[in-house]
Amino acid sequence: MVNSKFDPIIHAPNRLQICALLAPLDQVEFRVIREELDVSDSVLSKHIKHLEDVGYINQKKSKVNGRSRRWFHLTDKGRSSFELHVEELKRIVSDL
Amino acid sequence: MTEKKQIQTKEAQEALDSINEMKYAGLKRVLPTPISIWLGAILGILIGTQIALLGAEIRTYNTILIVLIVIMVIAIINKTQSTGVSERILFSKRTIIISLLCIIPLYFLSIISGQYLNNHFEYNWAPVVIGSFFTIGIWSLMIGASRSYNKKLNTSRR
Repeated sequence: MVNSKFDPIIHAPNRLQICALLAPLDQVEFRVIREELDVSDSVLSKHIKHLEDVGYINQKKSKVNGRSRRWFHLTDKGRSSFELHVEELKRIVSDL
Repeated sequence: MTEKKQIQTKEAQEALDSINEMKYAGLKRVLPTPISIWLGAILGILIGTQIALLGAEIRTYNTILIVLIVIMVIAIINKTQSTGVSERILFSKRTIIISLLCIIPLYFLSIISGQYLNNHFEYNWAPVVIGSFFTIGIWSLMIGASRSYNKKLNTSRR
């Protein structure tokens, strides 16, 4: 039985980085993802929306010192797809 | 040609490198800073002091200690939120609730034990020792968490 599955939604470089950043953590703020990926707000929003639409990530809004902040986390579905995708990448690399 | 076939080994390796890089960046952000370790240590000292004083039935400084404990808790929460990341807790919600339900009675039990030993056996040092144990316990948890993050970080770097 193969425990790996290539996921074209996750494989896009920015989306892959978003999932990788969220994977070892519980929640990450929008600002932090933008800083780590070094992309603009609009580009990041587009990728986040894509991941949200397929149910891979969810967002929570909170207010800190009166300022609204958006926090993102991987859903169980997203985490499972990401792990299967990583396994598939490892399999591809080890095949050669 | 399927998508699986289209992907090249080089591209897969680059993707894996990128994943490791981002995982490392994420874990690096949750690593407790020296300031948060100190805040935790001060909180431990305050709670230990409160247990010791209440155990010795000295209530004069109780209000100020409660205010300071609340301030420290708010400072720690603010410090954690300002990092923009929150760590992934692998324990279930049930385990966390049970742990909290055990810690609260332990706190009161420590105070009552201190008072009992002090009043009935005249062990004046007992509340101080119990308070110190609490402080050391909180400090050990802080150091343990910090070491665990460092270990995770080093593993992801490899």
